[in-house]
Amino acid sequence: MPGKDILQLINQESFLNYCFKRNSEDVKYWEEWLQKHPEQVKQIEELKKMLILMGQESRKKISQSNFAELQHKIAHSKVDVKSKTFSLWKKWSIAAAAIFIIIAGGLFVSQHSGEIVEIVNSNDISPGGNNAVLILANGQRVDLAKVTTGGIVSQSGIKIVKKADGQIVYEISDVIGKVASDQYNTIETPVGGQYLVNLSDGTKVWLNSGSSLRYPTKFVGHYRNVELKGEGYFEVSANKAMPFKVSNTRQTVEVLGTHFNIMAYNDEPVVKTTLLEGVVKVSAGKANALLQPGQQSKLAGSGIKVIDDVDLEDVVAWKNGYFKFNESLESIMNKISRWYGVEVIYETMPDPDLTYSGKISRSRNISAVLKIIGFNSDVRFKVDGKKVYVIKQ
Amino acid sequence: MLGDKKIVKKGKDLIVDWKSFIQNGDQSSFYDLYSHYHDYLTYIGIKKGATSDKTKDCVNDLFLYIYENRQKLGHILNHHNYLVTCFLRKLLRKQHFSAEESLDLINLEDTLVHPSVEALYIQQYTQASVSSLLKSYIDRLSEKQTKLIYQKFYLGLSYEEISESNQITVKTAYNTIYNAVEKLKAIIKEEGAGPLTVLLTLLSLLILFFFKNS
Repeated sequence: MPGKDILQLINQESFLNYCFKRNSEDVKYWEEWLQKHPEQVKQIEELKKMLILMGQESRKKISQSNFAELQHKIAHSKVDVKSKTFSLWKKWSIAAAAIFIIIAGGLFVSQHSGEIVEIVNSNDISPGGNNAVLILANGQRVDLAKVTTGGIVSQSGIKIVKKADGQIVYEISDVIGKVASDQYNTIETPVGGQYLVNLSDGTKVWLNSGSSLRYPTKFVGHYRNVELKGEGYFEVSANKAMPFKVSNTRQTVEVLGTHFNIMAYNDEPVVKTTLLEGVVKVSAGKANALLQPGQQSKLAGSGIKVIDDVDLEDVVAWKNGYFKFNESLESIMNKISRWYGVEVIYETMPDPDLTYSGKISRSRNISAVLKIIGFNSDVRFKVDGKKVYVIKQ
Repeated sequence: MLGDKKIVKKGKDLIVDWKSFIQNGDQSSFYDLYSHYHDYLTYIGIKKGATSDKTKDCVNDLFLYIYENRQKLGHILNHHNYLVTCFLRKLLRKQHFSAEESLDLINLEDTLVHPSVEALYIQQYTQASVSSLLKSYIDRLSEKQTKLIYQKFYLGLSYEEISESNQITVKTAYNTIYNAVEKLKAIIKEEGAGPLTVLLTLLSLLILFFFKNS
């Protein structure tokens, strides 16, 4: 029975059995006791709810922290992870052989069926290149294609430098502590642009065309938070004390140090996250998934689906300077439209279940790329200014 | 509508998750299996007299093993018995059990460690905002306090079992938990009619309503 201090009740197993409904005799005893002491009902009920909620919250915390320990063990275990990294190298070499064969095939076709791509108004379309706009914390916009090599700007103890190969590097030039923590920069690539950014922690981010990355000039606090729109390939420098988080409007990816690709264009129905090395955790609302090397998560709506053994070379082809297709025509045309800055008009709707494959350098003109796609398929293309028509053959 | 069977998930119901993890390596199934068996095996480990640290290590070793060897585990038909037996082997460092001991294992009640239907309703109706408030409070507790609260209010272990597995006296176990509850009570009192108080009142009404009608 409760004396002066109601909290003393938590020392009584019979009371706890009542709260957690573990023993019907105790439940009965306390229910009868409460009927005789209605003035106690309110505070007993409140205590009961509180204990239940405390139990649930601490369970969540303990179980999550133990699971995080397990994840750490998995990431450092030698099984699986190692063999997958090796098989990746094997895939690269096979791919290198394939690119030769496919391009040779493409050239053969172009000589014999000039009909696949018809160019009206006599203009072929040249490919995109290393273009991006850097938006500084104060809103100033710097066109990175136009600035010369050397220091671009110094802001709050950070020096932004454009190197000879066009890369942007953040150098911390001031003594630690003087650097302002809330300075955010954004890099935006236009359609037909791509860019490599080196963040202040040593992380490298390749931005595909029509994408943007927002990041602090220096990372402070518990997390390294950045925001991505569009597509980016990340090589995150390891820092276990400060996990790296990439978020967009639909999902968050949390990592310690690893290589992965995220494709999250607004005009693509599915957000794809692909892991090449390490471990990452993908979360969207209540759903989450841990990825191992070679796995890809697909987020559609609020569900995450994990696919094993994806072709990693397909995924990062863009970053390595070529297109590799193994997908529906619409998906291929989306990539082409982003890289060549063209509008695609379908005069015939392609079969969504039909897979087109091929491989070609991203530095070729659009006609060369379209020829590869048109080879062995039932469509042909007409290029008119900045418009590409897909026509039934 | 409130049948226990529908709401309380038993280990044996996780056969779907087991298959999906073993066959496809599905990560969310792996997490669901872990999340369920973490509670159950911790409960058994401490009941068997192991320390809470050793119990945790054995649970993680077991799950690391099944993660790395899933392709070899396709033949396991009863995942529940398999997991519990492997866990106890690790815990007791024994390769084989006597027939009597094996029988004990199979007879272990699977739902002991699971929340009551009432607790599940509370969980379901706790709004995200209040839940994050509670979380921020639990975050302020020490690791030790959180662990003891989990063992006492979630797993339902006795103060004696808790004192043994954490290698502290019964009095320390009791005081640690008491202080945590007292602190939360003080916070609720301080905030007057704040979100936690409102939640506790609302929950009482809701539960009264559901249970009267069931």
